[in-house]
Amino acid sequence: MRYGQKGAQVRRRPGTGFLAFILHRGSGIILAFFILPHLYMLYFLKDPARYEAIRGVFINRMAVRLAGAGLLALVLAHGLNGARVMLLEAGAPSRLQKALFVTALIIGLLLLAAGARLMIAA
Amino acid sequence: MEKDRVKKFRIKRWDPERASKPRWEEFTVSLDPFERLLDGLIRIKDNLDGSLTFRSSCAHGMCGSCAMKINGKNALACQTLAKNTPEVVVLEPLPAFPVIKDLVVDMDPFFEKIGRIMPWLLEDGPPPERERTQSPEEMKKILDAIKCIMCGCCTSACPVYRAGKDLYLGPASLVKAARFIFDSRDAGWEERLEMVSGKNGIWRCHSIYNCYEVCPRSIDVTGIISRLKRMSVKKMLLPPRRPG
Repeated sequence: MRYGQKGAQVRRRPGTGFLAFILHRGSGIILAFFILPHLYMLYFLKDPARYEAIRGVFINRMAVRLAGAGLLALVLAHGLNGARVMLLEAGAPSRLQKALFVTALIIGLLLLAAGARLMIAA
Repeated sequence: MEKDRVKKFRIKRWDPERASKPRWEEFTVSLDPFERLLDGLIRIKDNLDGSLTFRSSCAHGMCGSCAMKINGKNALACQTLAKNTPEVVVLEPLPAFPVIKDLVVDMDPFFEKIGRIMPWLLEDGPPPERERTQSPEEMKKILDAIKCIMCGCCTSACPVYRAGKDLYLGPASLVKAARFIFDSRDAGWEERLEMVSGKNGIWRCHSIYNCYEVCPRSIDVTGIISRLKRMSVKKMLLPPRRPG
């Protein structure tokens, strides 16, 4: 059965389009919160030696590398979902929306696996 | 009652004039696998509880009166066969619209939004002596949009509409607008396109596809809205001409 029951009310499992929308919107909001302070910090960090020193502190920490992989996941989720919406709004048939989401998910996971491996091993 | 024909109808009932909150009631009826849920509702009203309130008219999926939330998904009760539902059928009024009583909702806000897009043919010359003709190719451009029966399933399933129902025109209004914008006989396409390209129109659609999934007439609602988006962009970038 497609529907799960909760109390008397039946809650419909969210559709693919809704999941894609939440993923797209959620990743976009998190990226915005990351990018703004990131750009702000880079703007004021004008001394190359100081930049390298700070980079050196961060780059060798595993937690930072894992966070980098997380950032890659967010960028992939947002970018690939954005490409999916653009394709659909540019005229791709609506019946392909689920297939496009699954394709984006598979491409995203493959790129994430390859990218995260490089980032963590570096 | 034959066991395999027994259906339990769990219905969300509410009379806002008499009760502060809704309640759930269950009714057991026997339904042939090829009978519709609407037949079950009529049987309940006739034999078990005459106070149960729901809308129905044509009973053939043409009027849209019996739109309701069936097992969590907006659909027409007259189109849903008993054999395609589980033993327990949960019925709720369409979400996003104010409840009048039980499964009857106030569709006025919905029709007010449709009214805003001027759902009638606009002419720029004298009326012809006979009918306004169209070629089969011209008709194909509006074939999907003219199937709309304005049941409200799409608008009520749209999370954007539910989040800002006072603002967003909603998918049904946009489909109705497209029905005239792409109609070769209509002279008001520019005015209509400008209206739906405004802040409460097509750009509030996030291509979530709920409308497409619930439409009982299988209209490509999100696809039609995307077509309007493309035309709106084209109109902004290119000299105005009758959309293709």
